[in-house]
Parts: sequence; C-alpha cells; structure tokens
Amino acid sequence: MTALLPGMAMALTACSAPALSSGTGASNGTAGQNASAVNVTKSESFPICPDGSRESGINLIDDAKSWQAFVRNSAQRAPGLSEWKPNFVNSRVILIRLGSKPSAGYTVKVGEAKWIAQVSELVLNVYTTRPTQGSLNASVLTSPCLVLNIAQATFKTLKVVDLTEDKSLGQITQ
Amino acid sequence: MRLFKSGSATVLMTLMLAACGGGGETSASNPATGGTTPAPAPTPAPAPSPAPAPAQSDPFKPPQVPGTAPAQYTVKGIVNIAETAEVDSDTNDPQATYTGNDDPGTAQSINNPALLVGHLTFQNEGPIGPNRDQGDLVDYFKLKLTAGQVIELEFSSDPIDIDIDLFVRRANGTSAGPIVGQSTGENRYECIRITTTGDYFVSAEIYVPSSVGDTVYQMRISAPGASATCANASSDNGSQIIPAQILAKPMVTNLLLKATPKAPVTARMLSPEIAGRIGPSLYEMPTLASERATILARSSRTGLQAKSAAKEAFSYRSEKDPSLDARSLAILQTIGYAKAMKRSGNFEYAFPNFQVKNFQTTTPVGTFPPNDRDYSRQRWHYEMISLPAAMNTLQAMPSQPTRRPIVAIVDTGIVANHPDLAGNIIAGYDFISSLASASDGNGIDSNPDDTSKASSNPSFHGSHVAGTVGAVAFNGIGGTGVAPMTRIMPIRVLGDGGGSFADIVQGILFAAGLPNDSGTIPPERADVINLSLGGQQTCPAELRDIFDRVRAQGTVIVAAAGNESEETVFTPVGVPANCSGVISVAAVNATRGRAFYSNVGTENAISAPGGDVSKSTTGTGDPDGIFSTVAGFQSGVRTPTYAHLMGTSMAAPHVAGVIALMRWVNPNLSVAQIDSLVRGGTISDDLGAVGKDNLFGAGLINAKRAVDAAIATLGGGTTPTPTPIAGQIEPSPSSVSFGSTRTSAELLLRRVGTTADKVQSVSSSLSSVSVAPKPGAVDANGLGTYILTLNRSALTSGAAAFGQVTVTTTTRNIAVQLSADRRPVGASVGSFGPIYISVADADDSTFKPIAGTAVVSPVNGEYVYSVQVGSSAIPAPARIIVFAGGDLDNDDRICSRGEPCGAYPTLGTSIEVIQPRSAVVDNINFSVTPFGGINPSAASVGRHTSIRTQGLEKFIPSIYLSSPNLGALK
Repeated sequence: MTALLPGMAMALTACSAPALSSGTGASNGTAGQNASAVNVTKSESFPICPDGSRESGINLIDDAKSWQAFVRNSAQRAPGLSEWKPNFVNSRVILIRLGSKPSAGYTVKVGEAKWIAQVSELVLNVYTTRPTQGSLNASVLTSPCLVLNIAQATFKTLKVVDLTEDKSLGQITQ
Repeated sequence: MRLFKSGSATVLMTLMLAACGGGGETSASNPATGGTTPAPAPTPAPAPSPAPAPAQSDPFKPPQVPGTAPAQYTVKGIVNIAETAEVDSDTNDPQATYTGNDDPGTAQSINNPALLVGHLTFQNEGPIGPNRDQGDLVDYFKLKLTAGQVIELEFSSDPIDIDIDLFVRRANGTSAGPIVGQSTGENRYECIRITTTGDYFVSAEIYVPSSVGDTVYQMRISAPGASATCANASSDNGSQIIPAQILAKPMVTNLLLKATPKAPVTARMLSPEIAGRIGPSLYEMPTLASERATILARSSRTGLQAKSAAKEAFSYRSEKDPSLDARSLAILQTIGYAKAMKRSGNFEYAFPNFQVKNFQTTTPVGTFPPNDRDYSRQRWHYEMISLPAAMNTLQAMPSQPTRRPIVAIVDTGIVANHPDLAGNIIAGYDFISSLASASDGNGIDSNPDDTSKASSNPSFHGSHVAGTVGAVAFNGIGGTGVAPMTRIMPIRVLGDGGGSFADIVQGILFAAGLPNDSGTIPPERADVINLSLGGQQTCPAELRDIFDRVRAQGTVIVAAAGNESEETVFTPVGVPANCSGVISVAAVNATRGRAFYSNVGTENAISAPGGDVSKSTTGTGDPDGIFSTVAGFQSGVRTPTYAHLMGTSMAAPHVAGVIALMRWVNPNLSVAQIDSLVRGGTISDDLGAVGKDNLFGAGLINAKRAVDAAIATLGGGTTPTPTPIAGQIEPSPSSVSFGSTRTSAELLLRRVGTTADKVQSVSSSLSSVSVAPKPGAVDANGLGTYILTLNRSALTSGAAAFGQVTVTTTTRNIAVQLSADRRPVGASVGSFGPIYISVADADDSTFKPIAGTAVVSPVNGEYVYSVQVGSSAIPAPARIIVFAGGDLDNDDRICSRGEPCGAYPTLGTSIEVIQPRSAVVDNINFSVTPFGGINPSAASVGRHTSIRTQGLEKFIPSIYLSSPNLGALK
C-alpha cells in the first residue's frame, strides 16, 4: 500500500460497491433533494496513477502537507501537479483510482459535482471508459487515475458515481 | 498494513523533505543509496499483550498501545552507516574536526570503494561556519583506483549558482601529476571512468566565475562494473583536451541579423566563416589573461569572489596550485573559458576541442556495458537475456555487417524528437482513420509522430516499445535498445480509445511492403513487425491470411501474449498473438519467474522480461519495470523522458530486438529458420516445466545464443539443428564483496534446468582469496557449496582488490566477481562526521524536534546515542518518532539533499510511531545514508533546476546540555 500521510483518507470500496439506486440509474443520488452545482477548479486524468499506486479507491486530501507529499511522490509521472496550488481552506483534492488494468484504453474523467446541503453530501459524477468491443489496445498494465480540485471543503460525505457504468465508485465520510 | 508491538505501533507515514525547486527522478520515497545495514528489531520494555484494535473511523490512525506514557523517558539506540561511508574533512559543520584538503599536498586519504559526502562554498557565502569563514573551493582526495571503476559526483545546488566539476590526476607519492580525466558538464552530475589501475588524486572543484552560495555534494566510488556507466574516461596519456581550442556555435540570431553581439567575445575564430554553418566553429582562446578576463567577467555572477576570479582570469582554484604542470593549467583555463563563452549568452554551446580519438561516437555495436548514463537501470533485463555477451560476440566478428535491420513498431506512434530514438527512426505512417481517435486533425497521413495531448491520457507506449528494440546506444544518454543498429519504422495505429482491426491491418501491410490504403509502400520492408497490442478474441481468418502474406514477404511477426492473467488465474493468449505464424511472447519478472499478468497458452513461443513495477528486487532501488523512452508534459509541452513500464508489451520488443540482431548478422535468415530457432529452444533458456510449456513457451530468450545461431548460418550454412532445451550450472551469488571486514563467504554452484554439465574446477584470480569445497557439501559433479577465504594480511593497506572466481564446467566458464578492501592501519570503519539525532512528537506534523543529541564520530561504524525526553516541567509526548542526519552546510537543518539521513526503522516507505511505556526505550536502531542518492539522470534533467531540500530542523545545540555526548562536542 502506498504510504499516506495522516491527512489523506482513503476508501477501498470501488469494485464491490453496489449501484446507488435503480430506475433512474445511480446518476447522482439526489432525487428529491435540492442540489447545487460545485465548481471543479482543476482536474487531470492519468493512464498510470502518478504516485504509482495500483489499487482502486478514492482518496481525499484535506491539507497542504498531504498534498505536497502526493505531489512529491508524483513528481516523475506528473510534474505538472506541482503547478496546482489548492487552497485547503475552501477546497479539497480528490483522487479517484480505477486500480490495475491489463491494457490501455481505460480512463476516468470528471463530470459534474453537486452539493446537497440537507445531508451535507458532496456527489461527484465521473465518466469512465473501457476498451471498446473489438478494439485492440496496447498490452501495457495501466492504473487509470483522476486527480481533481473541488471548490467545497465542508461536507460530511463524499460520494463518487460512475455515470458511464451507472454505479458507485465508493464514498468517504469525514 | 498495521503492526502491533508491545510498546510501539507502526503507522504508515511519509517523512516529507520538501524541495525548493523541481528535482530528478529520485523521489523522497526512495532515498537509499549504497549499502545500508538493516536495523535490528527493537526490543522495547515488556508490556501487556496488545488488545484487539478498536474500530476506528480513520483507518490511518495507529492503534493505541495499552498503558500510559511516562512523563520522562530515555530513548537509546545505534545509528548505523555503511562501512564505505566517508566524509569530507573540511565541511561547514563546526562540530566536526576541520582539516583542509584544498591541494594535493593536503589531500584527504579515503578508502575504496567509498560513498563520500562533502561541502564546498565561497568565502562569506552560505551559513555561518568554518567554510564560510575561509572559503572552500576545492576538495582533494587521494586513493588507489582500479581500471573500470567509475567515480560519480552529484551536488545539490542549481549549477547556475554554483557549478561543481570533477577532475582526476595521477599521483606520485604526495605529488600530483597531470590531469588525466575531467567531467565538466553544466548539470549536477559528473562522472569519470578509470582506465588504468594506480594511485590518483580526485578533486571536486567549484567553477569559480559561475558562482554564489554553497553546496553539499556526494561522491560514489564503486567496484568495477557495479555502478553507472560513464562516457568520460581517464587516459594514460593525460586529458585529450587540446589546450586553447574551443568548439562553439554562435547564436543563430547573431549570424542571420549580422547584429553586434550584445556581449562580444574575445576569441579568434580559427575555422573559416561559412554562411549557414550547422556545426560548431573552432575558436582560439586568448593567451593574455587580461583578454580572457573580459569574457570571464561578463559571464560571472555578482558574488565578490566570482568577480575577483574573473578579474584574475582563473576558473578553478587548482590553477593556483604550483605543482600543476603547464599543460594541465592550460586545460583548466580552456575548460573555464569555454564555460564562460557559453554563459555569455552569445553561443548556443561551447566546449573544449578534443583529440579526435576521444570523441564519443554513436556506434551500433560496442563493448557492454555501454556508456549510456541510465544503462544501470536496464541492466537487469538486458543481462537476463545475455545481451552483453551477444554484443561482445558481434563486436568480435571479423567484419561488421552493413545493412541495418528494420523493425516496424505498429503502435501509438513515436516521439520523433526523442534524443535516444531520433537517430534510428526512418519514415513510417499514421493509419488511424478515425478523426476522433487520431487527435491530429486528420485521418491517415504520412506522419506517425505521437501527437497525443496531455488531456488524452497518453502513455507514449509506442516510443517505449521502440526504445527497447532500438534506442541509440553508446551516446552517453538515457539507455540503449536490444538492437541499437536497428532502423525503427514507426506505424501509428493506436489512438484515443485503442485501435481498430482495419487500421492495424493496414499498418501491418505497409510495414511488410504490401499494397495498403496509403497508396505507398516503404523503400524496404521491415524485417520484424512488433505488435505490443491485443484483445481477448480468437484470431480472425482474415488476419491469418494477411499474416501468411506478410511472412511470405520475409517479415517476422512478434506479438505480446496479453496481460489479463493473475497470479493463479490464467487467461488465454489474446489476438493477434494467438494467430498462427505469430511469435507470441510471454513475460517474466526480474527473478525469471512468470510475470503475474502474463497470459498463458500453447501459442506462447518464448518469454522475455516484462517486469513487475510493484516489486524492487534488483538492488538499484528502481521498480522492477522495463526502463525505456517515453515523453511527459512540462507546462503542457511534450518533453522526451524515460519511464518504467510493465507488461507483455515490454517483453515482445526484447524478442523483436533479438531477431533484429539475427537479421543484422544474416539478412538472409528466413522466417522459417527464425521460427525454428525460436520455437525449438535453440535461442532460449528453458524455464518452468522441462521443454516447451504454456507459461514460458520455449523459455527465456537468450541474445547470445541467437547471435551464435545466426553466425552459424553464414556462408550458406543451414539452420542449426535445434538442440534439446538444456539447463546450465549457475553460481549464487553472482558476485562476492568482502568489504573491509569479512574474511569468508560461501558460493553455491547448482544446476538450473536439465543439464548433465559438471564442475571441473573453481579458482580465484586473487592470491589473497582461496577457494575450497565446503566439507560434505559438494557432490561428485562438483555441485554444492564452496568456501571463499580472504587473507586480509595479503591485501595492500588502503587499496581495494578486485578479481574473480572462475568456475570451469564441461561446457563453459563462469565468472563470479570478487572485491575486497583493506583500510589503512588505524582507519575507522566508515564515518559521515557528526550525526544529529532528533526525537519529535509524532502528532506534530512539522517534525520539530523536542529532544535530541549529537554524536560527533562513530565507533566501528556505529553512532551510539541516548536521548532524554521530557522533564518535570514539560512531560514527554505519548507518541514519538526518531530520525537522524548530518548537517554538512550548518544551516541547522539535517537531511538536506546529499546529507546523511535516516529514520526509525527506515526512511522512505514508513517511519514508526513509538509509544513509550517504560523509562527506557531501547534498541531504536536504524541506518543513515546520503539523502536522495546519486542519480545519473541529473545529467539529463533540467540544468537550471535546484534540488536543494529544506531538510528537517536540527535539534538546537542548547539542549545538548542534556546529552551524554556533550563531552564529545567541541
């Protein structure tokens, strides 16, 4: 397991988590509740997680020290992350890891984020891709990863939903 | 990962040493370099058995150990260092004994091998300390060196601020002879390879006009063949630099606009002015110091000492050494003047002219290891396939072939401007027909450049594969390919979302010189097509037909078996590797075992290294991946670089490269002949079940056997009859180091695979090392354990001895490398100078030390320490961490880049939170080693990059009053 600073929480629930709901799809789980849009200020996808992690899951980085450690561990694969300057007073950094994949062709990209004040819940929708049926792909092991900075710092629960696959990728409770 | 211990608990926690700027590839999580002694497990005071961990919401909070912490306790332990540890005798640390080593007469004797840390500075620059007071522009070291050894130096500062260069002079007693080698780059890494055994002076020198500030540096002197290779060689005849001659290229703008240079250079051009000249022009350095001072002053920094040096027209302190011979003086002046021309801003580049015989040339075949700086990172996968032996065989051929084989890389395209690929790339094609997938604004076109944008998650996979097949060798940068004489034909078929069958088929047809949708065919068809791609389908009939036509053209098809398997759950070989006529390549890891992901099936023809980056077993500190050429993005701009990847994608190009070597030897080797050699086991080492099996095919590809087999077919010879797959006798370990204290070692000779081979003799080339069978441990075939015994009294004091044990079997000779060194009488066993031990509250994220001590020097390689924590006024914390390091620059921070550094139990992957439950917490033992290690890539990364780190706060000296080591402090 990758070394993490105390300020970096992690949930390893991605693959086994059930879909949030049926009928309308997992989409965002906000039916019947007032949801407001939250700005994703920065996001970047990687074919191989920049810190080298090959596990699936969600990480929440909520302090500068943890962020700096992540950037340092990612310096070789993603030097551009050092140009990010997240403000942890009013924002958080979220890492979404799809885990080890047997080839290229898997991606995770950001959709939209919503804030449900009634339950103090942040819902992040993402889109994933996998190799299309019948295509051929590079036979290299990958670990697709999405890193994003979201302009919301106070929430009790973070839920990440894959709209493409209509399923939850996991959640974190602060 | 969570460990319970009585009185302590482990938590994963990264000790962060933030950098002031960017950095090399070595990250904070991977600092170890050189030998380190594993820290013994602590034996804390007895405590009740741990209770089950309570449920916690935060999975990274360590479990609480039962009981409460005393208000005061003592932390005791030992900080270990490698026996090769050495420290500069004039650092800026006031706690260390200061002995100047600024000229050959006062040179510091050091041991060999050595891992040395040091400090250089300008007068009145840097933190307060003895070096600031006096200035320290050069450090001289004296030692015996053996041919083949490499001296590496890396410093921490931005070379624009302070540039350190490396020089080697022959020694005659205390007198220094001429300069015989130099490494004077404008980056943070320097290296020199020693070509003649003897006594030497090695100096690290500041390029004086450059500079402001101070720097910490590391110097590593390793056993022959053990460290990075190096392009700069020492010479028996002295430096090959031609004094006073400089090759330089003026800035293009000055040539085109005929503008007056903003800072005219005083140098006379010797070569005729040629409009549009592409290469450098030859300049002559002025003989008058006053004329040289002009450019030196213009290029110098604002530091007073730099300005003063410029006025005096000297670049290195050694120019003032009265023992320096005239030629060596001129060499130093020439190097310094060339640097000044470059720094003036009027030249793209400027460097001293060399004797032609010393030019580094790009040659396809040469003696391995090559001089490519990062070859050491590829060593494991190339030695595994016996590539060095194959290269040496090729080099020994009576005449070198002239036709360079072509390997088509049907993949994601190519980073055409990669300096390790560009020289070997020929015309290819882009067959991606989908505009959305191509992301280059058009459909199929003649440009196979990988135009991926950062937003499309590019892996630059094709460039990685191409580099393994045919990266340029012997060019001093990056790594090398399996077949560096190869011409790489890049065919782009994989874009965003992968590739379609239709596009891939077109790419294959083009590569084979068959009609295709582009309407063109290449001037020469490819010898080999590498397909590091696939999908989980059966092989379509159309593809089989196409592969038949490709083979009929004389083109061999190699494909990756696929990565869909797990450790114990196997997946069949994917398409196109499962098509008949295709050589399917399975992957092995760094220990020659099946890579966990490698697909399995009867289609597997052979195996090759594919790596496993989740492990690090090669001793380099790198992940066990395949190291090759890729690109990254810097501020949105595609930038050539290198990376470790894993997969059967990486295994296939090893095989494609070896087949290219065979076609280099014999271009007429037919597809059927190659098929026979591959599938019959003639060019592989058997792995797994005896004979061909579904995991490894015929076994691990062996480049040496492949080259031998190809040579056997020359002159109209027929294909060698496939020999039964045979095992061989192998030694374990493959090298033995006695260091400075060991006197005996065991060597195991065993059969690997099926073989009737027998050991005939075992002998040592060193008179000081004897070999004898271990009683009762060697069988009638000579297999078993042998005892190597070193007679230390037969070693020359202060010298390293290198040799080999030769194992002669009925089929081959096996060399086991030997090394031993004998310290001078009275010398200590390693030292990094004063080491500062700090205890910090584990719940304080700043790592600010609350207690600590200093140990000025080790005893027998051990810094024994004892730290009192807490007082009646301020209770000790319940949870602590312990770390230690050196402070060579005396900036009151330990563990800056290059300074010794360590933490309990290890630095890097995790440090342990200790929860004291008794008055004494003992056996908190750990090792320190220079932080960051030496990274040859520092020579190729951004020149203007500082990698100085902030380090960690040093425990303040006033609290040393509580230390039992106070008496040792000055």
